[in-house]
Amino acid sequence: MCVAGTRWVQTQLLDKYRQANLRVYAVWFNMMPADSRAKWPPTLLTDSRVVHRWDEPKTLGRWFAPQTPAMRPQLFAGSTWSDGEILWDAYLLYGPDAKWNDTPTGLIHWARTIVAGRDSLRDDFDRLFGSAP
Amino acid sequence: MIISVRALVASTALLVLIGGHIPGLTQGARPTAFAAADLTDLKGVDDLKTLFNRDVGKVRLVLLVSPT
Repeated sequence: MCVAGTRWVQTQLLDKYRQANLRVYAVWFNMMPADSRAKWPPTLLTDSRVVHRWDEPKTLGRWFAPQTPAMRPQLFAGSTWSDGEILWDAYLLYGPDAKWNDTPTGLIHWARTIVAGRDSLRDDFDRLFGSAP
Repeated sequence: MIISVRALVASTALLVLIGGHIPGLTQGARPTAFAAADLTDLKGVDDLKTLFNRDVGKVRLVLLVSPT
């Protein structure tokens, strides 16, 4: 499912908004039995605005999970998130003024799964960058 | 005749090699799909925090994903 979501981000957002002033942080970690660093797909998110990180101990997923109660107002309504211990197959979209002190500010929307939240994410891109050609 | 066959094989091999590197020459080629992406280890939450604050002024999208 993550592969489908990240492929959609590349083809439906990054390929269409080539001039958007944007940075993407793709944080990869094992969640499914077949997952491993060796399975990382280098041809999936190839846009130069994407930074890739491998997170073996799932640090980010574990860090974001307990932040989610405070992020509920920005959660896309169609999401499937039930306060688990690790947030994954998820996106978090922040505005250009966002800063990270104790926690990141400026959250626009987030969703789980990426596929479930793609309509919201596409709408936000249209609003932030103008409709794609 | 032997020379001709060798020349044909060499020419074909050369065309295959060149075709794989010239965008549009090979049908269905997507050169951007071969852009080198780099995967490095996350050095804790502060690693992402540093990147995040370095990129103030840009819209930022965090993806938390597994590789399959």
